[in-house]
Amino acid sequence: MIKVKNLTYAYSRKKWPVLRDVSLEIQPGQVYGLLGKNGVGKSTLLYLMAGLLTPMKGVVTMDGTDVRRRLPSTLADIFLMPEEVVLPSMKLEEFVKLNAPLYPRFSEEDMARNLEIFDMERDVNLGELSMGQKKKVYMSFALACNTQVLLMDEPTNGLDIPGKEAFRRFVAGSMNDDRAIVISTHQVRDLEQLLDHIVILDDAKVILDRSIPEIAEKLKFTLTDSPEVIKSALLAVPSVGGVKVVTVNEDGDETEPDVEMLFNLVVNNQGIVQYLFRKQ
Amino acid sequence: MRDNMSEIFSAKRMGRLMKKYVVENRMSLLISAGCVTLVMVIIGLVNGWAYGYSKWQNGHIEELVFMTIAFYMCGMIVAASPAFKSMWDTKSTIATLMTPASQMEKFLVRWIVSVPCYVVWGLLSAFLADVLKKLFVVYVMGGEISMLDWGSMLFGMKGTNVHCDSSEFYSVLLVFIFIQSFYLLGSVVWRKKNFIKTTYVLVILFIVYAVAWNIMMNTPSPEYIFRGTFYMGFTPLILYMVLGTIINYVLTYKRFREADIIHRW
Repeated sequence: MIKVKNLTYAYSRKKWPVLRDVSLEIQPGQVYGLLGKNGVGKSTLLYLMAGLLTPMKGVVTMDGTDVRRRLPSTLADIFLMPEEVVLPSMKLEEFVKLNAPLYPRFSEEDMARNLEIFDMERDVNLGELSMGQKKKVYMSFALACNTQVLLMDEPTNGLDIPGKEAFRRFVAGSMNDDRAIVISTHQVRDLEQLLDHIVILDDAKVILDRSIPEIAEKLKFTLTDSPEVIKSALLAVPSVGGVKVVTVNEDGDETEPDVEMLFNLVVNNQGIVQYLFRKQ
Repeated sequence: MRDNMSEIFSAKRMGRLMKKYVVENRMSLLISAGCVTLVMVIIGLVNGWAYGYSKWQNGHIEELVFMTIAFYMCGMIVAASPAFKSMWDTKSTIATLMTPASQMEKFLVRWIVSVPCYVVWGLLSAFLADVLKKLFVVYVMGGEISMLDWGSMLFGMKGTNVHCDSSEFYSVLLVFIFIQSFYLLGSVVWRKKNFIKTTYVLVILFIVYAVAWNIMMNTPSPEYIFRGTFYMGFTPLILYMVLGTIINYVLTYKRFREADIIHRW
């Protein structure tokens, strides 16, 4: 679907690259979580995948076509939802009428269903909505376009608690084998149940690019009181009811990955993680 | 081949994009159009008030001069300079570039609104102003005044009040389109203060051309090549303007096509 190959990008020729020789592949039927510290280049990578930036080296292709060419057929299959949504001041009905024809797979039924999930009315004026409401409306439209790839930059920022719950239902309900969703986020707690694949960026490169089953196969995430387990853990963080630990999965007993613990482990112990996930 | 062509241009998609652009920008387009008409009407009415009682002249020359200046200024400030305003900040640039249409179509929509639509609207506004001038003088002031000879100006028809024939009119229009093409290019190159920066560039280009012209006029040469102000000034100037306009439009399209959301210039 989307192939990122040896991508290098810097904001200016005089500055150090924010992404250096990055390669990854986005496959259909998966929800990807793109994680990293502030300023590491998550949004930049999303924009490069959407063809909105010109890489210094490397290429991003969508089904074999360079996304930088910005062909209408490619743009009709990629929808980017930025962190801050700008909508024209008009009725939502009018906005849909103007923009939906540009997306061949747009579905009115999906739009209506998505608005219902977010508890938003159809006859709203976009100019009068709050940022959170604009996001809900725009997300409803984004998913109703049924593009093959949906790129979302911090989608839960600005959403209220019901909105975040609705977003989770929303994403889970709209996934199918033909579509891929890439979500760049800091707020992993909002989304960890949805993610199928984790990509972690640090120091201009991808330091982890693994599916949840692959992670669960190699690492174990448990809550324990045992001093021996805590001592041998790769990462131990005090928590309510005990200590959350990440250990090597030696007994093959798979547990659900704690994405926040995983992130801290990967960023602070890159060598160990690279060894664990080495290709054999 | 047909698939490749539809990636560059599709009439159906172009129509949808044009509709989207006009509806989304209707307030700013209405305000811009209103400003142009208002300025023209003010010029017409003031001219009518100034010459309404005069029995020996109609103020046609003054009316033409002021309307031409207004047409030029509005064409640069209101039509061309904001043509690519959706590319001036990151959020609206994302929306513009991610719209599923070709870059050529997105460029053409803005060009059509800024150039031919503006020219037609400007002329209609000037005509309306001329009509209102006559109505004002005849019915409010009780005087007499004639309208400009639009038939002669636009279509080369023979008339009695000819102050500007069609060749002069279309020459002035060519100069306008040439100068406006710089402002269109400036709109996509610079995100801030593009009108001022483009004006600086034009002043510099004019100085360079004037110096070159002066040097060539004072250079001894065979009479049939360089003598004659008319030949030197006029004929190559027309060629430069036509070529220059085309080059500017191509540069504008290419700059727009290669634009990123982060302006690294």
